[in-house]
Amino acid sequence: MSNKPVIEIRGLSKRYTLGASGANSWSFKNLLGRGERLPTGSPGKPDTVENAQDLWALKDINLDIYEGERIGIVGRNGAGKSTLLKILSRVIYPTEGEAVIRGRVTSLLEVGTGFNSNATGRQNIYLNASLHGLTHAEIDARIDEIIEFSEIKRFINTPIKHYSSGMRARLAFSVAAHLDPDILMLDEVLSVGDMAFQQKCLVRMKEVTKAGRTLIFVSHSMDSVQRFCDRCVWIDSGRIRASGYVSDVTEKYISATMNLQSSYVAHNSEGVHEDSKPESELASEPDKSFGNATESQVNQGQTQSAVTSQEPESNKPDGDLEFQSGQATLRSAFIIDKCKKKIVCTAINQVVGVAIQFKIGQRGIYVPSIALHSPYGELIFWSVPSKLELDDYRKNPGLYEAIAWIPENFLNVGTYEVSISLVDPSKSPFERFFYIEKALQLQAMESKATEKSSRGIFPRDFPGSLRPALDWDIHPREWESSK
Amino acid sequence: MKDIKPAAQRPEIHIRPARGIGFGDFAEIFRNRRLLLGMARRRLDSRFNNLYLGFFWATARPLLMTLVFVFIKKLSEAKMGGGIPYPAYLFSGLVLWFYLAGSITQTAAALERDAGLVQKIYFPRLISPMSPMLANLVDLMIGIIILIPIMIYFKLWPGWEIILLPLVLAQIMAMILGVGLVFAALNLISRDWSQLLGLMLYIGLFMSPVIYSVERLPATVQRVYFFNPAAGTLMAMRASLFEPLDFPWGLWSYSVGFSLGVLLLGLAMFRRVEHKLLDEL
Repeated sequence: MSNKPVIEIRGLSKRYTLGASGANSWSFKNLLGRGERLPTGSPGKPDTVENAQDLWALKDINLDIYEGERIGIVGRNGAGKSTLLKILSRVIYPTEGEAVIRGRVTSLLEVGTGFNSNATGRQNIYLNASLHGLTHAEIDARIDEIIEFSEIKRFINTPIKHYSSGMRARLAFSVAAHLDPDILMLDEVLSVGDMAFQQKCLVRMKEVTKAGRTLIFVSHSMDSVQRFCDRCVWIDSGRIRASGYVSDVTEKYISATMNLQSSYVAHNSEGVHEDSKPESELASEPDKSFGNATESQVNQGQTQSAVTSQEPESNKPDGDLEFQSGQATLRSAFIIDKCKKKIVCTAINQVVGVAIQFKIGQRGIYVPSIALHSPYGELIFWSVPSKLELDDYRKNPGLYEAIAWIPENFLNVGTYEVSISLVDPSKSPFERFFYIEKALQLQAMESKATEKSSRGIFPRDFPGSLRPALDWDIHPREWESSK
Repeated sequence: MKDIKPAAQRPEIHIRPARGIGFGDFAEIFRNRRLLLGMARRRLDSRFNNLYLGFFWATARPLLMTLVFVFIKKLSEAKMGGGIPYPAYLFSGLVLWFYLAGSITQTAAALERDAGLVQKIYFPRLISPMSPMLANLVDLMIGIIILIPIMIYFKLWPGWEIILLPLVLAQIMAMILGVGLVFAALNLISRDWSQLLGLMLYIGLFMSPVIYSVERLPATVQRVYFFNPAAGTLMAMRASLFEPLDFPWGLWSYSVGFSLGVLLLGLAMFRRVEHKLLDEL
């Protein structure tokens, strides 16, 4: 491994001028002397003066990418991630700055660019591959492999105007997968093709990057980035907002863009605060963290929307908490990872915990419980501690923390919601100390493609509210004839 | 999977803002010559569904025009051929003019036409405007093939000047690329320029020695007339094809000079506006 980066980006910026200004200084109108002269444009020269119509699609991007890295670039629509990829693909020029690329680049900004529908599949392989810089001899050497990979051998001599869109995508991918560049750039193109073929492409991508090749993948889907990439760069309004390990950047990105409510702080406790963003100082020591939990920011709107009343007579004037008896009160609740760090999202193959902190005012029986609601809004389950002795639940006054661990490889992908409550089931009817419906939200994401998970070898998109990893036992068996 | 070279040993690509003057990277174009031919082929493929009909369409226009003008000549009893049988004179002129005019128009519009490619894949941008003149070369060749029986019929033979034909062709292509690029650049800035180009090429058909010969033009008119660089080109091509005509050294030298000048201008202008064009396609 050499220590020189494969891609070095220094101060890269791209400006677009909105509206029809800029280039018109050579128009007939101006040449004939009647047009309004633009303040900045002498003919043909790019404007150098800033004006209100300027839009910086990228501003001062600095980034080093090393050999064999798989980098995901995420960001909202219009954040500039595709602009960056286009500059690196040399499809457009930057306005300022410089980038150095070492090696042959293939960038797939689109699937099947330059396909000619009147030409046959085979001819289009040649056409497309030569557009991507392969020589005729190089294409000859791998044409069989490409056709084999595409699984459309039967139609390879048919003009592609008779192909389905899926077949076109297959053909395009097969070419792309065999270009063997040093650096491969993909813009969201993996989202086409049927599942089996997608999986095949993924395997091929893995092979490609294993050999020391570099992958740059632009997507607004964190799930895909999580699956393919080791490193992640988040671009927001043309600037790099965060960069680093995928899980860290994902966390920041999700919390900033999805507005999830991953922690809940009771309003009636002194100072009352709530924040959707994760904090790094954590509840590692349950008793001490009780005091800290009230220091974050208020976000009333979210808390209120998260709570709906089921039993009107128990409604408090502020409508916040449905049950809140004097004997025990909720202090705060949040989503944590296995190190008890507050998070907003988790990979589905990671353990995730729901932590509830509450204050008990008088000795009694206290049983915490959580309910999980699926991304579709339906209630999946209620869960309570499983100990059988009543005395295990008898608590003295004080602060407590209860954590319910949701196992790895159990959730599906999506935004889950968690309701929390504290009850005394020994009374009849149950006494509820607090119950907050959908108090917390949790984003569950795909795990990395290279890690074992309940996805197995399937590419993506499992229907259903859960995706548990069950114990599968598959073994050969003697045939028994039924008598 | 093949092993790959460490990053430090690979060729470096520098991506910088487009600034300064330059004439394009011809080494890179040469490395991509396959692609250039592929693009030319793409143009042909999209024009003709099959080769035989393509052959017909490529010749139909100059042939029919030849018939029309021969008919007009018969009616008017005008003297329009310059010392050689008029149909051969006319047909050779029309074939070249259509090649010239068609290619210039297509060169000027090439980048827009290839926008779908240019926006998605990097290749030397000049390849796109260079492809029409190569694709249209097929029509020109077909035209010359048709010309052979016509020449045989009129017992016309080429002289030693036939060896100059490739040079004349090179000059024609330089002129096409140069004028095409200038208008491609202007075209980006305002659509008016493509109208002007169309008008110039339309009038040019009559203001160049395509359908008539120049001998009968008054000397005063000739002085202005020969500012048209296409005049020398057309006369040089005919002289290299038909033995009885003298090669117009002076006029052709002017055409060569013009072509080289406009080519440099076109390349410089194209490079100048290229990045804007990419942003605005």
